[in-house]
Amino acid sequence: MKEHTNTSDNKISGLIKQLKAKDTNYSAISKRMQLIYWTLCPLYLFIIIMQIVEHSPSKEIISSFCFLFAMVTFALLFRKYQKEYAEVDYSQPTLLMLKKAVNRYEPFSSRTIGIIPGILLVDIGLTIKVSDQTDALLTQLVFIGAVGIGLVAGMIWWYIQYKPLRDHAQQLIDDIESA
Amino acid sequence: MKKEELFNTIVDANQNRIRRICAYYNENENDQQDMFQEILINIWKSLDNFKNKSSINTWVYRVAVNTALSFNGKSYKYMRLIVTADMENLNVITDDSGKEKKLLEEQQLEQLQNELNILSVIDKALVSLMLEGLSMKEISDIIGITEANVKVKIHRIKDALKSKLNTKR
Repeated sequence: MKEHTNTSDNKISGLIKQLKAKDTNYSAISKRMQLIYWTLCPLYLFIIIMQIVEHSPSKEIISSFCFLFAMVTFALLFRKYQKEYAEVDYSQPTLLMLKKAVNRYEPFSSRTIGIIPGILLVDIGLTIKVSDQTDALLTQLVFIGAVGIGLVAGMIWWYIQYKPLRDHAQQLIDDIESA
Repeated sequence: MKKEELFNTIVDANQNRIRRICAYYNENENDQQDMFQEILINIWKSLDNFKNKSSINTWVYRVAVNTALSFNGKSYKYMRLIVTADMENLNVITDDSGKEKKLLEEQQLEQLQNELNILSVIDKALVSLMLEGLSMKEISDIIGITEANVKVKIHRIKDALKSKLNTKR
Protein backbone atom coordinates (compact mmCIF):
# COMPACT_ATOMS: atom_id res chain seq x y z
CA MET A 1 0.00 0.00 0.00
CA LYS A 2 2.81 2.33 0.98
CA GLU A 3 4.61 1.45 -2.23
CA HIS A 4 1.46 2.22 -4.20
CA THR A 5 1.16 5.61 -2.51
CA ASN A 6 4.79 6.39 -3.27
CA THR A 7 4.34 5.43 -6.94
CA SER A 8 1.24 7.55 -7.04
CA ASP A 9 3.06 10.48 -5.42
CA ASN A 10 5.90 10.12 -7.93
CA LYS A 11 3.39 10.18 -10.79
CA ILE A 12 1.75 13.34 -9.43
CA SER A 13 5.08 14.99 -8.83
CA GLY A 14 6.06 14.10 -12.43
CA LEU A 15 2.78 15.55 -13.64
CA ILE A 16 3.37 18.81 -11.77
CA LYS A 17 6.64 19.13 -13.68
CA GLN A 18 4.71 18.61 -16.93
CA LEU A 19 2.08 21.13 -15.86
CA LYS A 20 4.68 23.71 -14.99
CA ALA A 21 6.37 23.05 -18.33
CA LYS A 22 3.02 23.56 -20.05
CA ASP A 23 2.39 26.81 -18.19
CA THR A 24 5.91 27.99 -19.02
CA ASN A 25 5.36 27.00 -22.62
CA TYR A 26 2.13 29.02 -22.88
CA SER A 27 3.83 31.94 -21.26
CA ALA A 28 6.85 31.62 -23.58
CA ILE A 29 4.68 31.50 -26.73
CA SER A 30 2.74 34.52 -25.55
CA LYS A 31 5.97 36.34 -24.69
CA ARG A 32 7.53 35.53 -28.09
CA MET A 33 4.50 36.71 -30.06
CA GLN A 34 4.29 39.90 -28.07
CA LEU A 35 8.02 40.44 -28.58
CA ILE A 36 7.59 40.19 -32.37
CA TYR A 37 4.73 42.68 -32.46
CA TRP A 38 6.20 45.07 -29.95
CA THR A 39 9.51 44.97 -31.87
CA LEU A 40 7.71 45.98 -35.07
CA CYS A 41 6.11 48.95 -33.32
CA PRO A 42 9.34 50.85 -32.46
CA LEU A 43 10.60 49.89 -35.90
CA TYR A 44 7.68 51.72 -37.51
CA LEU A 45 8.14 54.54 -35.03
CA PHE A 46 11.79 54.78 -36.11
CA ILE A 47 10.70 54.88 -39.77
CA ILE A 48 8.24 57.68 -38.92
CA ILE A 49 10.95 59.68 -37.12
CA MET A 50 13.31 59.21 -40.06
CA GLN A 51 10.58 60.31 -42.48
CA ILE A 52 9.96 63.43 -40.38
CA VAL A 53 13.70 64.20 -40.14
CA GLU A 54 14.16 63.71 -43.89
CA HIS A 55 11.07 65.83 -44.63
CA SER A 56 9.37 63.02 -46.49
CA PRO A 57 5.94 63.75 -47.99
CA SER A 58 3.29 63.93 -45.28
CA LYS A 59 1.21 61.20 -46.91
CA GLU A 60 4.11 58.77 -46.36
CA ILE A 61 4.29 59.75 -42.70
CA ILE A 62 0.53 59.34 -42.24
CA SER A 63 0.74 55.99 -44.03
CA SER A 64 3.47 54.80 -41.62
CA PHE A 65 1.36 55.95 -38.67
CA CYS A 66 -1.50 53.82 -40.00
CA PHE A 67 0.80 50.79 -40.19
CA LEU A 68 2.06 51.50 -36.67
CA PHE A 69 -1.45 51.65 -35.23
CA ALA A 70 -2.39 48.53 -37.19
CA MET A 71 0.57 46.68 -35.61
CA VAL A 72 -0.49 47.79 -32.13
CA THR A 73 -4.08 46.70 -32.83
CA PHE A 74 -3.02 43.26 -34.07
CA ALA A 75 -0.59 42.83 -31.17
CA LEU A 76 -3.23 43.61 -28.55
CA LEU A 77 -5.82 41.47 -30.29
CA PHE A 78 -3.45 38.54 -30.62
CA ARG A 79 -2.51 38.81 -26.94
CA LYS A 80 -6.19 38.75 -26.01
CA TYR A 81 -6.85 35.65 -28.15
CA GLN A 82 -3.80 33.87 -26.76
CA LYS A 83 -4.93 34.50 -23.22
CA GLU A 84 -8.48 33.45 -23.96
CA TYR A 85 -7.49 30.16 -25.59
CA ALA A 86 -4.83 29.33 -23.02
CA GLU A 87 -7.05 29.94 -20.01
CA VAL A 88 -10.04 27.71 -20.59
CA ASP A 89 -11.68 27.24 -17.23
CA TYR A 90 -12.91 23.68 -16.78
CA SER A 91 -14.29 24.41 -13.35
CA GLN A 92 -17.26 26.38 -14.64
CA PRO A 93 -20.71 24.80 -14.78
CA THR A 94 -20.86 22.55 -17.85
CA LEU A 95 -23.52 24.59 -19.63
CA LEU A 96 -21.56 27.83 -19.22
CA MET A 97 -18.32 26.18 -20.33
CA LEU A 98 -20.02 24.84 -23.45
CA LYS A 99 -21.59 28.21 -24.30
CA LYS A 100 -18.20 29.88 -24.02
CA ALA A 101 -16.69 27.15 -26.21
CA VAL A 102 -19.34 27.76 -28.89
CA ASN A 103 -18.57 31.47 -28.73
CA ARG A 104 -14.82 30.84 -29.03
CA TYR A 105 -15.25 28.61 -32.05
CA GLU A 106 -17.69 30.82 -33.95
CA PRO A 107 -16.09 32.09 -37.18
CA PHE A 108 -17.72 35.49 -36.78
CA SER A 109 -18.61 36.92 -33.41
CA SER A 110 -18.49 40.28 -31.67
CA ARG A 111 -14.79 39.59 -30.94
CA THR A 112 -14.08 39.42 -34.68
CA ILE A 113 -15.06 43.08 -35.02
CA GLY A 114 -11.79 43.90 -33.24
CA ILE A 115 -9.84 42.90 -36.33
CA ILE A 116 -11.65 45.39 -38.59
CA PRO A 117 -9.84 48.54 -37.35
CA GLY A 118 -6.46 46.82 -37.96
CA ILE A 119 -7.42 45.81 -41.52
CA LEU A 120 -8.83 49.27 -42.24
CA LEU A 121 -5.65 50.92 -40.96
CA VAL A 122 -3.50 48.76 -43.26
CA ASP A 123 -5.85 49.57 -46.17
CA ILE A 124 -5.76 53.30 -45.43
CA GLY A 125 -1.97 53.17 -45.06
CA LEU A 126 -1.56 51.43 -48.42
CA THR A 127 -4.02 53.73 -50.18
CA ILE A 128 -2.38 56.90 -48.87
CA LYS A 129 1.04 55.61 -49.89
CA VAL A 130 0.22 55.17 -53.59
CA SER A 131 0.38 58.30 -55.68
CA ASP A 132 -2.34 58.51 -58.33
CA GLN A 133 -5.97 57.42 -58.57
CA THR A 134 -5.34 54.46 -60.90
CA ASP A 135 -2.74 53.05 -58.49
CA ALA A 136 -5.12 53.59 -55.56
CA LEU A 137 -7.84 51.62 -57.36
CA LEU A 138 -5.40 48.84 -58.18
CA THR A 139 -4.17 48.82 -54.57
CA GLN A 140 -7.76 48.51 -53.35
CA LEU A 141 -8.43 45.62 -55.72
CA VAL A 142 -5.24 43.80 -54.68
CA PHE A 143 -5.92 44.47 -51.00
CA ILE A 144 -9.56 43.36 -51.15
CA GLY A 145 -8.46 40.29 -53.14
CA ALA A 146 -5.81 39.46 -50.53
CA VAL A 147 -8.29 39.92 -47.68
CA GLY A 148 -10.83 37.79 -49.59
CA ILE A 149 -8.30 34.98 -50.13
CA GLY A 150 -7.37 35.18 -46.45
CA LEU A 151 -11.05 35.01 -45.51
CA VAL A 152 -11.72 31.98 -47.71
CA ALA A 153 -8.58 30.20 -46.41
CA GLY A 154 -9.62 31.04 -42.85
CA MET A 155 -13.12 29.70 -43.43
CA ILE A 156 -11.77 26.45 -44.89
CA TRP A 157 -9.43 26.11 -41.90
CA TRP A 158 -12.33 26.83 -39.53
CA TYR A 159 -14.60 24.36 -41.32
CA ILE A 160 -12.06 21.57 -40.96
CA GLN A 161 -10.60 22.37 -37.54
CA TYR A 162 -13.18 24.20 -35.48
CA LYS A 163 -16.65 23.67 -36.93
CA PRO A 164 -16.90 20.08 -35.63
CA LEU A 165 -15.96 21.34 -32.15
CA ARG A 166 -18.47 24.17 -32.34
CA ASP A 167 -21.21 21.85 -33.62
CA HIS A 168 -20.52 19.28 -30.96
CA ALA A 169 -20.59 21.85 -28.15
CA GLN A 170 -23.84 23.24 -29.59
CA GLN A 171 -25.34 19.76 -29.71
CA LEU A 172 -24.47 19.22 -26.05
CA ILE A 173 -26.04 22.57 -25.15
CA ASP A 174 -29.21 21.55 -27.00
CA ASP A 175 -29.22 18.24 -25.10
CA ILE A 176 -28.83 20.00 -21.76
CA GLU A 177 -31.41 22.66 -22.47
CA SER A 178 -34.05 20.33 -23.86
CA ALA A 179 -36.14 19.76 -20.77
CA MET B 1 -1.42 27.87 0.54
CA LYS B 2 0.80 27.63 -2.53
CA LYS B 3 -0.75 26.43 -5.78
CA GLU B 4 1.35 23.27 -5.73
CA GLU B 5 0.34 22.41 -2.16
CA LEU B 6 -3.33 23.09 -2.88
CA PHE B 7 -3.14 20.93 -6.00
CA ASN B 8 -1.56 18.05 -4.05
CA THR B 9 -4.18 18.34 -1.30
CA ILE B 10 -7.05 18.31 -3.80
CA VAL B 11 -5.63 15.40 -5.78
CA ASP B 12 -4.83 13.37 -2.67
CA ALA B 13 -8.34 13.85 -1.32
CA ASN B 14 -10.13 13.24 -4.61
CA GLN B 15 -7.99 10.72 -6.43
CA ASN B 16 -10.45 7.85 -6.03
CA ARG B 17 -13.39 10.03 -7.03
CA ILE B 18 -11.62 11.14 -10.22
CA ARG B 19 -10.57 7.58 -11.02
CA ARG B 20 -14.18 6.43 -10.68
CA ILE B 21 -15.35 9.12 -13.12
CA CYS B 22 -12.64 7.98 -15.54
CA ALA B 23 -13.80 4.38 -15.12
CA TYR B 24 -17.38 5.34 -16.02
CA TYR B 25 -16.28 6.58 -19.40
CA ASN B 26 -13.45 4.20 -20.33
CA GLU B 27 -13.23 0.45 -20.22
CA ASN B 28 -9.58 0.39 -21.13
CA GLU B 29 -7.09 1.10 -18.33
CA ASN B 30 -4.82 3.17 -20.57
CA ASP B 31 -7.73 5.37 -21.62
CA GLN B 32 -8.71 5.75 -17.97
CA GLN B 33 -5.16 6.80 -17.14
CA ASP B 34 -5.13 9.28 -20.05
CA MET B 35 -8.38 10.83 -18.90
CA PHE B 36 -7.12 10.90 -15.31
CA GLN B 37 -4.05 12.85 -16.43
CA GLU B 38 -6.19 15.18 -18.53
CA ILE B 39 -8.45 15.88 -15.54
CA LEU B 40 -5.44 16.63 -13.33
CA ILE B 41 -4.08 19.00 -15.99
CA ASN B 42 -7.42 20.80 -16.10
CA ILE B 43 -7.58 20.95 -12.29
CA TRP B 44 -4.15 22.57 -12.33
CA LYS B 45 -5.16 25.01 -15.07
CA SER B 46 -8.42 25.94 -13.34
CA LEU B 47 -6.99 26.11 -9.82
CA ASP B 48 -6.44 29.88 -9.97
CA ASN B 49 -10.18 30.28 -10.49
CA PHE B 50 -11.11 28.14 -7.51
CA LYS B 51 -13.08 30.14 -5.01
CA ASN B 52 -14.49 28.67 -1.87
CA LYS B 53 -18.01 29.38 -3.11
CA SER B 54 -18.67 25.78 -4.07
CA SER B 55 -17.54 22.71 -2.19
CA ILE B 56 -14.28 21.24 -3.34
CA ASN B 57 -16.06 17.96 -4.22
CA THR B 58 -18.51 19.71 -6.53
CA TRP B 59 -15.63 21.67 -8.07
CA VAL B 60 -13.64 18.49 -8.74
CA TYR B 61 -16.66 16.74 -10.25
CA ARG B 62 -17.27 19.78 -12.45
CA VAL B 63 -13.74 19.69 -13.82
CA ALA B 64 -13.94 15.90 -14.24
CA VAL B 65 -17.27 15.93 -16.08
CA ASN B 66 -16.28 18.87 -18.27
CA THR B 67 -13.05 17.08 -19.16
CA ALA B 68 -14.93 13.87 -19.90
CA LEU B 69 -17.21 15.82 -22.25
CA SER B 70 -14.34 17.42 -24.08
CA PHE B 71 -11.75 14.68 -23.67
CA ASN B 72 -9.17 14.99 -26.41
CA GLY B 73 -8.90 12.15 -28.86
CA LYS B 74 -12.20 10.59 -27.90
CA SER B 75 -15.24 10.37 -30.07
CA TYR B 76 -17.99 11.57 -27.76
CA LYS B 77 -20.71 9.73 -29.61
CA TYR B 78 -19.10 6.41 -28.83
CA MET B 79 -18.19 7.29 -25.29
CA ARG B 80 -19.26 4.33 -23.18
CA LEU B 81 -20.63 4.50 -19.70
CA ILE B 82 -19.18 1.62 -17.73
CA VAL B 83 -21.07 0.39 -14.72
CA THR B 84 -20.08 -2.50 -12.51
CA ALA B 85 -22.16 -4.70 -10.26
CA ASP B 86 -20.39 -3.60 -7.08
CA MET B 87 -21.41 0.03 -7.36
CA GLU B 88 -23.42 0.69 -4.24
CA ASN B 89 -25.48 3.45 -5.82
CA LEU B 90 -26.56 1.48 -8.86
CA ASN B 91 -30.09 1.06 -7.49
CA VAL B 92 -30.69 4.81 -7.79
CA ILE B 93 -31.25 4.30 -11.51
CA THR B 94 -33.66 1.42 -11.40
CA ASP B 95 -35.22 1.78 -7.99
CA ASP B 96 -36.60 5.10 -6.83
CA SER B 97 -37.98 4.07 -3.49
CA GLY B 98 -35.25 1.69 -2.44
CA LYS B 99 -37.95 -0.58 -0.98
CA GLU B 100 -37.27 -3.31 -3.42
CA LYS B 101 -34.16 -5.13 -2.38
CA LYS B 102 -32.46 -6.45 -5.43
CA LEU B 103 -29.14 -7.40 -6.70
CA LEU B 104 -28.80 -6.97 -10.40
CA GLU B 105 -27.96 -10.20 -12.07
CA GLU B 106 -25.32 -10.32 -14.71
CA GLN B 107 -27.84 -10.38 -17.52
CA GLN B 108 -29.73 -7.42 -16.14
CA LEU B 109 -26.51 -5.53 -15.65
CA GLU B 110 -25.55 -6.16 -19.24
CA GLN B 111 -28.95 -4.94 -20.39
CA LEU B 112 -28.62 -1.87 -18.22
CA GLN B 113 -25.14 -1.27 -19.57
CA ASN B 114 -26.44 -1.45 -23.15
CA GLU B 115 -29.31 0.91 -22.42
CA LEU B 116 -27.01 3.38 -20.65
CA ASN B 117 -24.72 3.47 -23.65
CA ILE B 118 -27.61 4.50 -25.90
CA LEU B 119 -28.21 7.60 -23.76
CA SER B 120 -27.02 11.00 -24.92
CA VAL B 121 -23.65 12.17 -23.63
CA ILE B 122 -25.29 14.59 -21.22
CA ASP B 123 -27.61 11.91 -19.89
CA LYS B 124 -24.58 9.69 -19.40
CA ALA B 125 -22.93 12.49 -17.43
CA LEU B 126 -26.07 12.84 -15.28
CA VAL B 127 -26.16 9.09 -14.65
CA SER B 128 -22.47 9.06 -13.71
CA LEU B 129 -23.12 11.80 -11.14
CA MET B 130 -26.14 9.92 -9.82
CA LEU B 131 -24.02 6.82 -9.44
CA GLU B 132 -21.65 8.91 -7.37
CA GLY B 133 -24.52 9.55 -4.98
CA LEU B 134 -24.64 13.30 -5.55
CA SER B 135 -27.75 15.27 -4.63
CA MET B 136 -29.91 17.01 -7.25
CA LYS B 137 -28.60 20.35 -5.98
CA GLU B 138 -24.98 19.26 -6.45
CA ILE B 139 -25.71 17.90 -9.93
CA SER B 140 -27.42 21.18 -10.87
CA ASP B 141 -24.34 23.10 -9.64
CA ILE B 142 -22.08 20.95 -11.77
CA ILE B 143 -24.11 20.97 -15.00
CA GLY B 144 -25.36 24.53 -14.66
CA ILE B 145 -29.10 23.95 -14.95
CA THR B 146 -31.82 24.37 -12.36
CA GLU B 147 -32.47 21.70 -9.76
CA ALA B 148 -35.99 21.27 -11.13
CA ASN B 149 -34.58 20.67 -14.59
CA VAL B 150 -32.16 18.06 -13.24
CA LYS B 151 -35.07 16.29 -11.51
CA VAL B 152 -37.11 16.23 -14.71
CA LYS B 153 -34.20 14.89 -16.74
CA ILE B 154 -33.29 12.22 -14.22
CA HIS B 155 -36.92 11.20 -13.88
CA ARG B 156 -37.14 10.78 -17.64
CA ILE B 157 -33.93 8.76 -17.78
CA LYS B 158 -35.15 6.46 -15.00
CA ASP B 159 -38.55 6.02 -16.65
CA ALA B 160 -37.01 5.27 -20.01
CA LEU B 161 -34.55 2.79 -18.53
CA LYS B 162 -37.21 1.08 -16.42
CA SER B 163 -39.62 0.67 -19.30
CA LYS B 164 -36.89 -0.67 -21.59
CA LEU B 165 -35.63 -3.11 -18.98
CA ASN B 166 -39.18 -4.25 -18.16
CA THR B 167 -39.98 -4.80 -21.83
CA LYS B 168 -36.96 -7.01 -22.25
CA ARG B 169 -37.69 -9.13 -19.17
